[in-house]
Parts: sequence; C-alpha cells; structure tokens
Amino acid sequence: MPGGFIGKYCVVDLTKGSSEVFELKEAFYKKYLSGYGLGAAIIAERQKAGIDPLSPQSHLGFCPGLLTGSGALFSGRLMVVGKSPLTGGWGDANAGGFISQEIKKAGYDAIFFTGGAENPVWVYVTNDNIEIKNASELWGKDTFETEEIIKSQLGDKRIQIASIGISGERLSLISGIVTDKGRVAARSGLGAVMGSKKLKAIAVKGDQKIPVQRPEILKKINSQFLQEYRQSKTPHKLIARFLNFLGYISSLIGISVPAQPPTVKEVLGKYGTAGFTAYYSLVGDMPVKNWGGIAALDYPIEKAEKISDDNVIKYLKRPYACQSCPLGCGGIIHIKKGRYQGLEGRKPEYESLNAFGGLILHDNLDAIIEIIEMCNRAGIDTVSTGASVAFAIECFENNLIDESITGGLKLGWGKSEEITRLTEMIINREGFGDTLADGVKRAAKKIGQGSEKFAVHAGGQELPMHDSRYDQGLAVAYKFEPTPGRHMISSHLYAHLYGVKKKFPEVRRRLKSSGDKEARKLHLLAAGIFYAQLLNGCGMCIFGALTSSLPVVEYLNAVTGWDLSADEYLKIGERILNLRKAFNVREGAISDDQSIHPRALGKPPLSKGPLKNITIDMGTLQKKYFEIVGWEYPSGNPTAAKMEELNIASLFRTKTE
Amino acid sequence: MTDSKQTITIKVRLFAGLDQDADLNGYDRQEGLNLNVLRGTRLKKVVKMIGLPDRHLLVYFINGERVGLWRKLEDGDDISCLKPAAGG
Repeated sequence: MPGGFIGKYCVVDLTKGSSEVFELKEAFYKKYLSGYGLGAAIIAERQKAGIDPLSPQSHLGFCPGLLTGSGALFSGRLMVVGKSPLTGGWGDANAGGFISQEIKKAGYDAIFFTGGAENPVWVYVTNDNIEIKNASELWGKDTFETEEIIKSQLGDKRIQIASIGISGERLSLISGIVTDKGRVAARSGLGAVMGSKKLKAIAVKGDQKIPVQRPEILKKINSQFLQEYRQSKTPHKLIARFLNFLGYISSLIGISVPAQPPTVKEVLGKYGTAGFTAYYSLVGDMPVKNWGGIAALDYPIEKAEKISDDNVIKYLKRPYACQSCPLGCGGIIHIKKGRYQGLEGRKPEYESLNAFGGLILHDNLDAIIEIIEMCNRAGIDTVSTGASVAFAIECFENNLIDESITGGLKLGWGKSEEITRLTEMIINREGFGDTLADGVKRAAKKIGQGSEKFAVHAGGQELPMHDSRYDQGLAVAYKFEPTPGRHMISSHLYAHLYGVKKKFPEVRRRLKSSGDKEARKLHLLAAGIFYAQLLNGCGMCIFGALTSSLPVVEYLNAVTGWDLSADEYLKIGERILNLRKAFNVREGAISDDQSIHPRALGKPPLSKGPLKNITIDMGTLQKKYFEIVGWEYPSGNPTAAKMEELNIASLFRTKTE
Repeated sequence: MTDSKQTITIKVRLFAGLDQDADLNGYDRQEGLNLNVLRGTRLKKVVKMIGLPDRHLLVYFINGERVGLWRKLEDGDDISCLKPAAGG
C-alpha cells in the first residue's frame, strides 16, 4: 500500500447541498503529487474554460500536500486553488497553520467546492463525513470571531477552521482566506471565490492515520535532518574569509555576496521575516514609495529600522510554529495601541510590514500592527491592500483624485490616520474604498486620467515587497509565473539557497551545456521554479528549503514507497508549472499574465541608491527563459512538444464552453 | 593624550540580534553605538573591537552605501551591520 495520499478527494456542490467522493489512483499522484499539482489537474479536468470565477461553475479547492500529515518536517502547508478573479487565470494561495494536515486526517487529499449556496453556509468536515450548516449568524463576522463561534458551537478547540471575513463576503478581488487567526491564503483573490459561493468557513477535524510506506526510514531521515538543522552553523572560517573578501571586492565592483542558509535560518527563527526589514531597505530589495522611490533617500535606515527585527519582537508574547515546523518563524504579539489594544495578534511579517511601511513611507509600527490586524480579521491581502493605498496616495499627490473622491481624506505618504482610515474603507467597500477593493488595475481603469502609470502590478496582481531590480530573477517570476506577481517561487538568490545545482544532476548537466553566464543563471532560476512547484505539490514550506538542504526527495521516497530519482521529481515540478501555465493559455489569460509595471524593470532607472541605473532587458531574459522552459516566444504558451513530453496535453484538448 | 584632531566620531547600528551576539548589555537601538576612533581607522578594526562574531559573514553599510571591512572610516560615518537575508 503506497503512502502519503489517501486516494480520494471530495467535491461539495453548494447549490445542491450535496457532496461526492472521487477516487484517484496511485499513478495520478506520481504524475501530479498533491497540493496545487492535484488542484490544477482536477480543476483543469472538471472546470470548463472561460467561466466566471465568481460563478457557481467555478471550483475552489483546499489541497494539502503529498507529504502533509506524514510526519515529514516542514510539510504543513495548504494550497488553496481556483481560477483567480483578480488575474483571470490560474490562482493559488498558500497558508501555514494546522488545517492542511487535518483535511487529510479527515480522509481527503483535497476538498473542492462548486456551485453556490442560496444562503450563507459553513461546512463541517470530519472523518469521511461532510455536513453543510447554516452560517447566517456568522455572516458579517470577522475571521477571528468566526473561528471562536464555530469552536464554541462544536465544543472543540482543536477544530481547524478556514474562513473569509467581510472582504471575501463583499467579493473584494484582493480578499483571501484566513486560518488559525492570521495564517492567510492571501493572494489571487480566492477569498472572493469563497464569498461568491456564500461559503463562510470550513471546519475540519479528523483522526485517521495518513499512510507512510517506510516509517522507519522516515523516522531516521527526520532524526538526522533535525539534528543537522539544529546544529547548522555558518560556513567554515576560510570560506567565511573568502566571502568577506568578496564583500570587500563588492564595494569596488558591485558583486553581491549571497546569504547563506544558516544565517537565514538564524534570523527567521528569532524574528521571522521582520528580521530582514532593515537589510532589505539598505541593499535595495525593499520597494518604497510605490516602487518609485529610493530607499536610501525616501525611507532611510532611521525609518526602516523602526519596523525591523528587535523593534518588532518587543511586542512578542510567544513564538508560533506551523504544523511539523522546526523553525517556528511565526509569533503571537501583544497589541499595545489602537482598536485592538490589549488583544493578541500575529507577529507582523516583512511583506505586510513593508506594504504598509516603506511602500507608503510610513514608519509608525503601532499603526502598521493595527492595520495588519484589521486586514487579517477582514480576510484581505495585506500586500495588495498596501499597494492599493500606495496607488491612491500617488494619484492624490498627482491631482488625479481629491478629497471629494476620498471622502475628505487628504492622502499623503506616511500619514498614519489617513492610511488606517483608507484601509478600513477598502475592507468595507465604503466610498472610495470600493474603487480600490478590487486591486490597482481595476482602480486605475475606473479613475482613468492616466492613473495606470501608478498601478504597479504584474498580470493584474499587485507586486510583493521584493524589488525585481535588485534580483532580476524576480522579474522573470513576477512576469511569467502562472500566478504573476509572486515572490515565493524563485529568484536568483532563492535558486542559490535551494541548492538546486547540488540536488539535481540534470541541472548540473544542463549548466555544462548552457551558454553564457546569463543563460546559466536562468537555468538555475528555472530549476528553482520547478523545485518550488515540487515543494508546493508536497505541502512543504519554502522556508525549509531556504534554510537547509531539505531532504524532500528522501522524504517522498520514504513516505510514498516510490523510488524516483531527484531528477524525476524535478520533472514532476516542471509538469506542475506547465499544467498551471496551460490553464492560463486555455483561459486566454496568457497575454495579460505576462505584463509587468515598468518601474519593476527600472524604466525609468533610479538615479541614486544601490539600484541606480539598473534597467532590466526583459526581452532578452524572456527569450532565453522561454527557450529553457520550452515555451513559445513571444506568446509564452507551452509548446505542443512540451505538453506531450510532460503528458498533460490531453487535459486541455476539449474544454471550452 | 590623543590629539582631538586625530579622532573621529562614528555611529554603529546593529541589527537582527548582533548586539546580543556581541554581548553588548544596555545597547540602545535608538542611539546605536557612538564611538570615537582614530582618523584612518578601518571598519575591520571597529567591528573587531565591538566583538561581532562571524564578522566576515556580515554585511556593512556606511551612510547607506555597501562597503567592505577594509573601508577607512570618516568623521560622522553612520555604520549599519547586518546579517544577509533572503525570503519573506
């Protein structure tokens, strides 16, 4: 009996009020794994092309990974999947917490929702059982209240819940799905898909054992890995000296000395990603002033340090680790000021900190914590919301909108009260907030007057808080990833930290035969992208891969009983990428999903700072990258040959309205 | 007695727990470390003096510009010492 998977998924039809279970054979998992590999394959099969993602015909999937619940370390992630109403193409969002494992323990490799309830419902999932319950008293409640009420009703604090808040209920295209009071599947606007089905929450509890084929080997891998992970040290002194010599050289000729996994682990473990804020601001990785500013001038270290490392963990009450995580980068804080004063909240992470920090030249940490808390409770994406606020401020500054539009708010960079109020308006779709609640692309269309030059997005999705001018691999990811504008996939630095060259012999072979330095970097980047797909098919946390030589291949073989090579698993990752990309081709999202705001490409280049004069030659990068991954140039469609090679062509042959 | 014209004043900021790594009790994040050093002192010496472990693996900025440990310091330099990062 193979391990890792249950062998079935469930589809809950909220129109009919019924559910149906479908079995899957081992060959399916060997082809797509689980997580968003399974999610993409099922949705591509079941959902016709061209449907409105907010219609009853859409599917919304909650997909644990293949390793989730097996006991493998770092395997607790959940992928939420569906057609994105924000981009019109493939959508997925990733969250930590504990619900992913619970779904498998309840007996399902994934749960999909289709149709739409007439009145608000929540769905209770227990061992092989699905109940649809009335959510009329929950509708209008925030995500934290929703969790508390459901747990109280069921009399069980161990239930894991994923819910939407007001933003999802009101179909904000930048809304997400919240679990465990602040772990958020934020991107792609999937909260709106859930809201369109009047599905307020899913509550899951199971106690079934998830099969593991070789438990003794798994135990040994865990023991060895954990020991190495806890003891991992900085490199040998000679290597350190060499790196520092490079650091000296870098001051002369600008070579970057890369981060090393043990250092990244050390900072993440103590501070979470809030430990990186000051660093990102100084190296230029932090976009400021809606991507139009220069951190050194507009948001210097005196400001950035206020929302960085020790200044953030001053609020820390206790650490938080997701299921099966030895790193524990999360945290629970004590909120000291504002409307949630005295309550507990989530330790803010870098993306949220900068979305409401450097991006809008704001350094009031108490106000930022309050805003993040508002977003978590409302179930709205902090990245997209912060970007929408930045867009609004720039429109106001340039007289495209005024106080008569903003409801009296005199918007400006760094103005705490106005920023907080505007966020509230976005959450509630109140006044001008309604214009912003569907993201910057749509807001710019409504405002007109050339405001699209301030709408910073890729393919309709607001960009995260890492500057593609700093790491050009991000430009490729932002533009060409099937869910555009996403950083937790790969970059040149991530590919280095993932150790793809060491892990995969095929990567080393390709590097030998690749051409110039740029081509080699792109080969590594592509390998990093395939690897990230593999991780997301397994339910593994990217931070595990960034902070260690994560033994994912060994884990997979131990849990499943397969004896696939590293290269064979990487091939599965490549398949998952192309599956998601092919979905976009079928949806006609391909031309849009490859747009990116010129500021992210250094057009025009910044005049000062570490990113001075950098402009990205996207045309050349695109051509080389497409050649490497086997996509047609310039369309980005996976070639017919690539689709056949990966054995996914049949999924897309006849699926149109 | 050192000629005051031969000394300069610099400020050192430490991030992501470096003050704790160097056992600097009472380090004030707002103030940083304000130090008087001889003109011509290199960053390497100051970092060693502060006691930062694994100093060769850290990243240094002076007045917002990335530098190496060999850099000569000048009066008023604002130095940030950080651990290189990725992710998030």
